[in-house]
Amino acid sequence: MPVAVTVIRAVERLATVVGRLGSLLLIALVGTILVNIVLRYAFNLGLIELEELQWHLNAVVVMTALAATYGEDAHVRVDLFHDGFSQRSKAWIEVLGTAFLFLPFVVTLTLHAWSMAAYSWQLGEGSPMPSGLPARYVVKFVMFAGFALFGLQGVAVLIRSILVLATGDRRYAIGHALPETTPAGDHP
Amino acid sequence: ASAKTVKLEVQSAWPLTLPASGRDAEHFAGVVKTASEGSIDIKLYSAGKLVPALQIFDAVQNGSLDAGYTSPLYVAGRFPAVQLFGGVPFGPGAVEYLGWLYNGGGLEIWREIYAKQGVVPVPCGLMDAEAGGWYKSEITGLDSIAGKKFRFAGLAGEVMKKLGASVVLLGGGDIYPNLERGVIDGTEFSMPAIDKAMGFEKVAKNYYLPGWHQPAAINELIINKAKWDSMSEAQHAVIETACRETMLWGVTSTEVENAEAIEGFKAAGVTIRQFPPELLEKFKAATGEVMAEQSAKNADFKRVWESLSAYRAKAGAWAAVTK
Amino acid sequence: MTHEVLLVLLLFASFLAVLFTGYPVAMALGGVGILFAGLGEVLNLMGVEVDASLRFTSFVTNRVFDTLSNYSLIPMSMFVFMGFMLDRSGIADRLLSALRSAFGRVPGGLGLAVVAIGVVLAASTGIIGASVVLLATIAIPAMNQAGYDKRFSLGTVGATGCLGILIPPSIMLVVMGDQLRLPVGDLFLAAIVPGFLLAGLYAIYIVGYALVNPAGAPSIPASERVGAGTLALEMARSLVAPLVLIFAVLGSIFLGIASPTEASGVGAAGASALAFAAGRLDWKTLKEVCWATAKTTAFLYALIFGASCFSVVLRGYGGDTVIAEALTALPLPPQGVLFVVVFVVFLLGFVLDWMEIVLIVAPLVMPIVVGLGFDPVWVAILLAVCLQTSFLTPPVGAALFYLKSVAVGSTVRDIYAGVVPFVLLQLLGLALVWIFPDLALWLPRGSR
Ligand code: NA
Ligand code: NA
Repeated sequence: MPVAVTVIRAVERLATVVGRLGSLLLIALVGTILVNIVLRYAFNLGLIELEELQWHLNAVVVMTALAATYGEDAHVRVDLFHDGFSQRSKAWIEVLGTAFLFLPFVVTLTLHAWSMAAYSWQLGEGSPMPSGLPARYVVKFVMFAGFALFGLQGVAVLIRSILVLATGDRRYAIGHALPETTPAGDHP
Repeated sequence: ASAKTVKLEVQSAWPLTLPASGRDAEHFAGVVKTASEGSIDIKLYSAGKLVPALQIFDAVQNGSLDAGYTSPLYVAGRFPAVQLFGGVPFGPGAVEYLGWLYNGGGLEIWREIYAKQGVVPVPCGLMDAEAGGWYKSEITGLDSIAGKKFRFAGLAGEVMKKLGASVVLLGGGDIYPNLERGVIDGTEFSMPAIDKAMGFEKVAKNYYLPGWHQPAAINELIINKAKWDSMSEAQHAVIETACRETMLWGVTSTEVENAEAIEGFKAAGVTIRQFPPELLEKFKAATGEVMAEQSAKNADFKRVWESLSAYRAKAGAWAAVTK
Repeated sequence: MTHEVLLVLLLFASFLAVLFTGYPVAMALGGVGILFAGLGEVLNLMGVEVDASLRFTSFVTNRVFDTLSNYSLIPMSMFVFMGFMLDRSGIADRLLSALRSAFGRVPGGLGLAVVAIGVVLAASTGIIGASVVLLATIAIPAMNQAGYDKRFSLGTVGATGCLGILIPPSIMLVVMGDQLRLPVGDLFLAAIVPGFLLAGLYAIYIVGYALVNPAGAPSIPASERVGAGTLALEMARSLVAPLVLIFAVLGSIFLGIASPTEASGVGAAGASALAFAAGRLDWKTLKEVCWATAKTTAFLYALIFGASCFSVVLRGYGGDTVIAEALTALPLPPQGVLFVVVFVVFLLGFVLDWMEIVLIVAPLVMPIVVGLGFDPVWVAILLAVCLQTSFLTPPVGAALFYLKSVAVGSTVRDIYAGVVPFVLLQLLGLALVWIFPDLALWLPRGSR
């Protein structure tokens, strides 16, 4: 059990750190847009690089935040009936959903994203605009890494939900603060 | 010999109703169906149905898609040289372009570049000159370019930058509102029949014909190499012939529509203009610089550019007469 | 043919079944899509021919990257940033309490203020997630505080936030123009009057609701009312900042300084500047705003990824063809055919994403419209109003999920119940545009 909890903790801490760091790029995004507008209007300077940088930054923000958003249980649910379900039923839904829906989805995306990034790297792909940003494989690699982390977070959720079923302790449920690492038997 | 039936899934980069490009794809599929007596079971998908336009190449390359009907310009980020097969500023006219591809060694280099990726290209659509674009005010000389903001794509965008314009990247749908409000002072787009559907005549009253940035354009059918090899020679011949026929059909299919669109623009108060010759000379000089720069950066680009230039030098005396 | 219909129905049924277990929507969409891609592989082995197979998972990845690299979606994160910044800096609070004092005497006054802000937002963005989230962040707390009925507030904010997809600029109209081969400019002009008409219908309903049910949309109690002089002063103080911001965003678009995409960045920067001026912007606040924005944006994108997966697999099962054949099978007079098309689009809106509907329906509708002599722009606007409604119709409506994600403490049940009256108003608006085509055609005709 402590091993499982350690894994969950490690994954979720990583997701949070990556997500929080990535989110700071929003400041750079706002800055880039402003610089772009000012350069164009005050100095008649249109930089394709800066326009492309905008979606690159935005993409990094999204991909780095996916996992932590999941960890905080912030992906929206239709709770019409969900709220009325027992703790056990909810945990079963998470276990089955993660194993048969989420993981197949994210694992296939991760694998394909890896081939996309690798192929792009092999070609040295850049922007189709001659003066656009070079190294498009960077953002494709970020897509791969973001999905990989998203998948890891899914594994953490799976372990959490199994722990809920095994121990009946709701603190193991997705989005909850984990109990201190103590033998499972201590909990009612 | 009667071949076994092959299923060929093709993703188009354009809506199938789009004049020229999209309709050419549909025409091609129809010809293949009939000419192969059904031995090529072709299934054509409209824009975005399976794979987004800019990702078609990757999907064909990795075999998740059999084939794509798209433009060589869309892979300029992956293979800068290949954009020279799609359309070139101050490049050859339609007939001269085909002359180079089929009889001047162009297609061989194209096939060679793609062969390394496991992809077979078949030139499969031809368009003559695009329009020179829509401008808020008249273009009288360099002053009307320098310091202005335009939406221009690809190599032509580089040329505009060299002349002091600031070049803006905008998606298809963002162009209209930005032109309307003056975020941009002008834009190139496509041929009149296609421009018509954007409604630019409401927000820009100067339309320039023809376009220096693309005297002719060619689209490509790209097929996964393993898929191509699984087909018989007869089936290859059907596809190649259907593509050649599609070029003829396509380039002649829009003449009346383009003319009607221009009449419509005039009725909406648009003035049809031509770029001043001195300015065209400046565009041309800048194009030379851009081509030199790109050639220095990429060996394949240099090779294709030199092949095209050599062909034009040889055929030029005659091409000028027949133009 | 029949096995195709059955499989398409099974795909929808599976998704809805998972949806109602309460499993996250984005993952239900993506997961069911992938499962059915795998099922396609099995079916093909069994000799049942379907296009769907595991290679569709590769298409999904291509589509995800296309979404990530879509420059036009940047307003999503930027307007969400602006919303959180206005919220954390207390500016939103002051703005709405000022509006409440000003409009508080009118029945439903605060609701009307929300509609007014919604229209302004609609004119500055064409991305729906942006406007719903921004509006919900700043308006829902204020409406709660003013004692508004929870469901009524959710409905008002959800419906008003959706105006952004109809009133230009609008990414939906751009895609429709592309698919239907219609001038985007005409569609933009044609959507203006119907957009304002809907806003007007909402406003009338809000006033009516407040009159019939004063407890659900209370006016300011007499004790809290202040004299005209004090009110004017308070208004001046709290409205200056937001007005400057609105001017910066809209002004930069209309003066041609920034594109609608860039204007969202101007809004985000402007909100930060206001927060700084008010002494409320420290590093900690900035970090928290970034983090909240990133999470909301990630959730919005995850929904798009999931929907994109589901829809491409649906296509792999011939979903397009099944729907197309259902649409064209009936022998009806022209008006009847059009009615069926509009009605089916409305029904599809319950379960499908607008983009998917446009891609399926557009190629079918065009020949019908041309063949039967309808004005294509008018038909496009009818479809646009229908599609806009689809954002609001339960169980699957993007706006509903956006609301759920930011309106803390509301259940999906509240949201479903709250939007029903507004869906009916949408249908009323649709009927009016049908009966009076000039509502749509008057403006584009004038400019032709
Ligand atoms: Na809008
Ligand atoms: Na819906």
